[in-house]
Amino acid sequence: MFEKMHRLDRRILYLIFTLAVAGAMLRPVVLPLPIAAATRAYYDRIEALGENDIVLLEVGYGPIAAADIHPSVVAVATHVARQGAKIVLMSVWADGPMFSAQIVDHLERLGRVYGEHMVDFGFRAGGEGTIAALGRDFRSVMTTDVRGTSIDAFDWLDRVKTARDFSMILVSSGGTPGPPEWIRQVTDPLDIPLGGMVGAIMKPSQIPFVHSGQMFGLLGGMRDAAEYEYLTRQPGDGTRSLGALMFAHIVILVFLAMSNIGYFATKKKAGGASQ
Amino acid sequence: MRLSTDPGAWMAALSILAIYSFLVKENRVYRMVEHLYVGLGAGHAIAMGWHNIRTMGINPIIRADRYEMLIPLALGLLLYTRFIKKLHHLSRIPLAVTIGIGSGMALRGLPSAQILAQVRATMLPLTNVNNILLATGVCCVLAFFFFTVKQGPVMRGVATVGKWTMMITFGVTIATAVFQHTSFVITTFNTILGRWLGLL
Repeated sequence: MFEKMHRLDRRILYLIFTLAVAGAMLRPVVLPLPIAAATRAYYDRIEALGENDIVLLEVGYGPIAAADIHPSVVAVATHVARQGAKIVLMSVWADGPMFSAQIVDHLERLGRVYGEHMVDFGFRAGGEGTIAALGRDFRSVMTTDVRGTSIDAFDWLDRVKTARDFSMILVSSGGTPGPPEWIRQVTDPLDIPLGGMVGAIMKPSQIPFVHSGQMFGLLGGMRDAAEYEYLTRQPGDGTRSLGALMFAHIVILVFLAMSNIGYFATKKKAGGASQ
Repeated sequence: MRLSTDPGAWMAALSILAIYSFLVKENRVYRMVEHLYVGLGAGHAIAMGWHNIRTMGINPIIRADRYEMLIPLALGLLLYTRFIKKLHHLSRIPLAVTIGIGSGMALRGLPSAQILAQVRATMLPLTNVNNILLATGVCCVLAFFFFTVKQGPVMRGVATVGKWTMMITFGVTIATAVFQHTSFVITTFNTILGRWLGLL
C-alpha cells in the first residue's frame, strides 16, 4: 500500500484536483475571511480619497500573471472610482495596455466617462528609465493617450506636471519593473504614497517595503483580491475563486502527505529488508 | 448549461483543453496548440515592437519635430550590425549605453531606498514576538554569510539558525508559487465552465 502511495499515477492526482476545483466552482462555499493588515491599510488609504484626487495606476503585467493580479487591480480601480477620484492609467510593460483597456471598459460600465474621469496613456518603453523620467516630468513622457489625444486636451490634468502632483501611485506588477523600481526612482525621492499589487509569488519579497513604510499597503494574489472585495462589498473574481483555492490546496496537501508517508515507509521497509 | 456562441470563447476553451491533454499523454493536438501559442507570442511581440517604434520614435520626429529621437533610433539600428561581420563591433555601443544607463539608474536610488531604508526598518524595539523574530532572523542570516573569520561553536550555532530561517523563507516562496499557479488553473476553469459552457 505504501508503495502505491509513493508511486501514485500522477493522472489520478490531476483527476482528483480537477474534480475538487470544478466542484468548488460549481457549488461555491462561503468561507470566513480574516483581513490582513496590509489589505486593511490599503483599503483605508483609498477610502480617504475624494473627488479632487488624481491617482496614477500602473498596469504592469501580461496574460500569464494576469490571473493572479488582475482581480486586485479591478477591485482597487473600482474603489478609487467609487470615491470619485480620477484615474490615470499607464504601463511600462508591453502587454499592460491589454489589461488597462479592460479596466477602462469595466469603469465605463460603472458609469465613469473616458477623458472625464480617467485616461489611459498605454505603454511606454524604457522600464526604470521611463519611470524616473515621468517622475520628474510627467507631461514630456506622456504626450498622447492610447487614442492619440494630446495630454493638453484633458483639462483636469493641467495641474499634473510631475509625479508629485498625483495623490498616490498604485503599481501592479508581475515582475521587473515593479514596486522596487518605483520606490527607488519616484516614490521615495519625491515622497509620494505608493500601493502595490503583485502576484502571490512576489508577495514575500515585496512585503518588507510595507514594513519599512515605503508602501502603504500590498495586495498579493487572488486571496488578497478576495479580502479587498470583501472590504469594498463588491464580490468579484477573488471572492468566487476562494472555495476552489481552498479545495485545490487541500488536495495538494493530502497528496503531499501521502507521497511522503509512502516514501519514508517504503524506504524503512527496504532498509529493514537489506539488514 | 448555456453553451457560448462567442468564437473567442470556443477558441480559448478548446486551446486550454488541448494544452491540458498533455497531462494524460503528449499528443499532436497539444503540440499544435503549443506551436500556435509560440507563433502568436512572436507575432504579438513584433506588432508591439513596431507600434512602439512608430509611436515613440518615428511619430515624434515627423509630427513634433523632435529630432533628438533620431539618437535612440540610430542606437536601435546599430544593434542589428551584429549580423554584419565587418561592423559587428558597433552593436556593442547600444548595449553599453543600455547597461550604463541601467546601472546608473539603479545606483542612484538603490542604496537609500532598498538598503538604508530596509536596515532602518529592521532596527525595531524588541517589545513583541514579531519584532524579536525579525531582528533575530536578520542577524542569524547575516552570520551565515560571514566567511571572513573561522567560525567557532557559537557562530556556527547562530549560522545554523540563519540557515533554517532561509529554509523557512524558501518554503514560503515555494508555497506562494503553488498558490499563484493554482490561481492560474482556476482562471482557466473559469473560462471553460463559465465563459464556454455557461455553468457558472
